[in-house]
Amino acid sequence: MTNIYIAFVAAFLLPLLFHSWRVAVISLGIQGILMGLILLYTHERSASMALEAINLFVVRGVIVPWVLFRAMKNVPMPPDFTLIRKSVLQWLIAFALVGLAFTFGWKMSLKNPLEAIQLGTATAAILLSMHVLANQSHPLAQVVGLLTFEGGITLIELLSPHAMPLYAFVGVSLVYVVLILTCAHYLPLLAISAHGVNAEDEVFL
Amino acid sequence: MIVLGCALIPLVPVVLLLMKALKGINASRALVAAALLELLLAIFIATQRQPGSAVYFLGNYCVLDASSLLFLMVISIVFFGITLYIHHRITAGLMPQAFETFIVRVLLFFSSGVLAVISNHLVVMWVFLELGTLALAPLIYYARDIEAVRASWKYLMFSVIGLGCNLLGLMCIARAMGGAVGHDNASHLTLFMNELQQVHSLGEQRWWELGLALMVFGLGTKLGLAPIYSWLPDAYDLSPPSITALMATVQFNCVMLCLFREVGLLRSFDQTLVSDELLIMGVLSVAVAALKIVAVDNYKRLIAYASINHAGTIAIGLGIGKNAGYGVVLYVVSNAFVKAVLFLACGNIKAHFGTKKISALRGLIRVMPFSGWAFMLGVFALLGFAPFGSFIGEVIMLSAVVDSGYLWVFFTICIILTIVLIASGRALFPMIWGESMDEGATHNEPLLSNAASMLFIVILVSLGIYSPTFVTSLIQEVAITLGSP
Repeated sequence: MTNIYIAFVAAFLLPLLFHSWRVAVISLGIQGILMGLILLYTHERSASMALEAINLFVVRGVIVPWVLFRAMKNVPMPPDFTLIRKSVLQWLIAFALVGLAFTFGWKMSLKNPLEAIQLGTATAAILLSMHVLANQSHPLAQVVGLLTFEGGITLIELLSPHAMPLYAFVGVSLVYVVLILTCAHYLPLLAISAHGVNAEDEVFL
Repeated sequence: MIVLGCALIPLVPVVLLLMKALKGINASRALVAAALLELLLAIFIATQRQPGSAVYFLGNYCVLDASSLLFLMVISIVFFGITLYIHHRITAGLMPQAFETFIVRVLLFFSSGVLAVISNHLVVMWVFLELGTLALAPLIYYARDIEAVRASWKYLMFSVIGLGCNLLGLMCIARAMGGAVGHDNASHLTLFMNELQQVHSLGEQRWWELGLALMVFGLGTKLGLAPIYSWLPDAYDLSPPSITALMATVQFNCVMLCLFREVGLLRSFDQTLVSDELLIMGVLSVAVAALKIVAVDNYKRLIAYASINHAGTIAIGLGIGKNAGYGVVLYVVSNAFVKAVLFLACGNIKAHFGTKKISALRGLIRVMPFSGWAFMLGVFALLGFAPFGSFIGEVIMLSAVVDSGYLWVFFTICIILTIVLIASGRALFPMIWGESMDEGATHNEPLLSNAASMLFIVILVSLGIYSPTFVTSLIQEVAITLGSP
């Protein structure tokens, strides 16, 4: 079980190492699949759990990367795309945040090691996503930060043994899907405007 | 079920528009008709309601109590006024072609707002706030401007993060109440508001304390409170005027109701945590806004900063609670109409002069008498002058601050409000009354362009002098949920 959490942490730490936007997008899909596995391992089988699992495996694991890849088609990307700036200080901050997150998880859940690890993982995802959002001006990096933040929230949601009421669950899932589609709508607009193209029709049509 | 009609009415024209059954000016007429029907329905429900009653429907997911009814009325009135303004812009040819998409999004946004207002479940309320944000964001760059695209993106990012923090807080509360996976400490978990009122314990203290802090911080961000406020001036400044008015009134009030609900339900578990957080965010916001107002040379941006100032004042009143309750509610309601008057007037001024620079404009009241008067009265209400409702609300809040013994807050606020008054007056009064640089003829403004502003000013004065009994009773009931005696 612990291996899944380690894999999850790796899934949002590794894209910081690679200078590739494709790796960053794929990592979002991997995070979704790992969250689905965490759900399967930690929760009792029920209809609501099955729905949540479908949401995590299909929407977050498959649809999110697919929509983002489609949105980035024909969008010029900088060759040195990174999620955080290339500097030792930024790396030190990133690792310090991960350490801080797991310390926090441990303090909050002293008597429950598995919950402590899950909370630490979720907090690390949230803090690192904030770090990415604070550092990055590229819209795709911001989307990756935002969706990692949403992933952290989902991991915290999975701490509770109670399933969300059906209507609330459907609503939250709908919001997530609309958010992805909205981000995909913005990405070409912002990426083209970032490259200094001022021809309005080219941007807006 | 009549209440549900309020949420469904805006969706009827949406369906017709998506089916291409409505086009051109008919789409605009349908927008106004839906808003009018919505308003009439809200007033009908308000007059039929028994004081103190709460009706639950749709499996307890929706509620019609004093809070939902008051905010339903406020957003319906403001929305009707804004649709009149949009109709004027369309008929005057001031909107780009293909405005049907614009109308669809406006109606979807409003429908989400109504559903958020009548929600009885905290997560469902969150869902509709988020859907409203997603419907509204692309309208910010409707004027096809690259700067507006960036402002819209910034608005989207900060809103999603703010609402995400709020959801995170709700999940922490759920964890506190519901126990941990695999442990036998699982207890009854509910996020239905009527059930939360009956709860005596929220479970594990560190979890619900964390949740409470995150919920308030998240909604504060969505309201534009410091420290995360930078999205607001850009989004308000660069949006079309009707969209700015929708953000500053309908959306602001929906989020404010969510904050009222959450603070009202949960502050009894930890009075100090909620009060301190709201006071810190409030004082910071008021201070930051004052500094920005001193330096700004853009009238729309100035009002945007004044919005941060007002949100801060409301946060302070909410943090104090108790006797400030009535003042807070009255101030929030008045604030919606003040912002609507000012942002719609800003749109008229920009359309005529083609600039948002304060230093470039003089003698507004001579050149544009209707918009000039609306802008002037709006500025008076903004600065907290009598006899507007905002004046009474501010006085009640400040006296409650003194009663509660927060003298440092009182003196800080008084100093900052004086700075805001002087800075705003120095910038805006010459713009309104100064010697006009353009000696041309007075601009003949169509009645429709200022009809909404006139309606809002009448309501603002009425809130300060005399309100119908059912309105006063609604405000009092909402104030009681905030701890008012």
